[in-house]
Amino acid sequence: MLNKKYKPLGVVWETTLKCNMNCMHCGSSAGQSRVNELNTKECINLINDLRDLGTNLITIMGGEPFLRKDWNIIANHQKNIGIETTIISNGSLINEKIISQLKKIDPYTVAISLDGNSSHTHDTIRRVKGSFDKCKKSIEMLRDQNINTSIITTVHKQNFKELPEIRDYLVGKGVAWQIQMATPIGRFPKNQILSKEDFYSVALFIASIKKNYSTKELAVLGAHNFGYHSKILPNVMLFPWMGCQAGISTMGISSDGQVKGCMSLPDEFIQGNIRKKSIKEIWNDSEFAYYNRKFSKDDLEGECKNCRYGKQCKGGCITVSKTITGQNHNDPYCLFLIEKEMIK
Amino acid sequence: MNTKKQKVNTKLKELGQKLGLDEATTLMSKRNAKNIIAIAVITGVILLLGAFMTVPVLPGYYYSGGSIRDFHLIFRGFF
Repeated sequence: MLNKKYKPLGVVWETTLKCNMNCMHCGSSAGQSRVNELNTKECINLINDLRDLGTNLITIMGGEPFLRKDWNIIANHQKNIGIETTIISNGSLINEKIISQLKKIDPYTVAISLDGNSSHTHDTIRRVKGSFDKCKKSIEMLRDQNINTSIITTVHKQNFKELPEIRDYLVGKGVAWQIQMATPIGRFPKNQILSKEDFYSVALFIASIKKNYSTKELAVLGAHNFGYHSKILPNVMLFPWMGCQAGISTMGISSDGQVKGCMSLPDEFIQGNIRKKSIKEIWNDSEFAYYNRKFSKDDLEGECKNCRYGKQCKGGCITVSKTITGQNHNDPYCLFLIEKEMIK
Repeated sequence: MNTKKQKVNTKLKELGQKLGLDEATTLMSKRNAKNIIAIAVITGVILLLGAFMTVPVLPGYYYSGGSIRDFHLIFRGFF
């Protein structure tokens, strides 16, 4: 009865690296398409294989996913075989035609990136004039048509103080708001990352929204890198932190078929390409995501080494840990650790 | 003990101010018994499901861009 096989329940898939923006925090350095992106047939085969592996939610992202001419074929196929679809977009291309296609797909959510509540902040970060107005218009169009809509705000030094204004704009819109910390990968410069204190302020801010607003008014959540094991704040993530899920219950696939345990991990974590091996073979390989599947407490490093939550926590988000400390299991952006320092 | 609590509250107020939170809102945002019980129940449900399905089952959704549907009592993840 007990089935301990790993299952890629939620898969994040970069369907194209092509993007019409040039965001300073882009973890994929998106802009041009990759040299040899998967064609429609390869995409359909991949979706079928993912269904066989037990995936029930695929998040399509980019680049800008609506720049792929066949995005609708991909999303429709997912729907037809019973896989939920989330689309992460910068909101610049959403028009009446796309809205009508989205209505038929009935996505789990369409997540729009909003980096500030002013043209100055949003357009500066996105490096495209007018992107703020287009983004807001898209949000309104999606809401008008009752399409599940989410907002993703990636916070760093340049925009975190604008969070209260974004909150005030979003209250009552019936959207989910995900706040995530920018990680120094791709184009994002290391010197723009939040300080630990600012990171804690943001977690406190999320907790304050949870306390003061019903989910009907504003359903807010911290992304997976807003943890862990705080003794002062309530959990601000969607679920309690149970350790990095790369290769355990999630997986990342790039537009040229490269496979990693999680889409946000650096390229050194690529462990196969679906053009050389099927996704099933890659996922079922005993060495896939060895850093999580074969994790032991001895793998913890730095401050995490002697932490009482280490075994379960696995040292937080591997992407944050790796890009900041160079180690896999030593994420310094940890509420528990920050609290320990705070009350020394 | 009181000194420690005061130190924490003072620091929290300072951190809350950065994002426009007043003292009362900041202190109200701290976790309470209800939060602790809720998180224990959710963890228990996930571990229970994990024992029968995979290891563990739901947190794969951490990475997907939260949806309003994730806030419904019974959502896709439980099926």
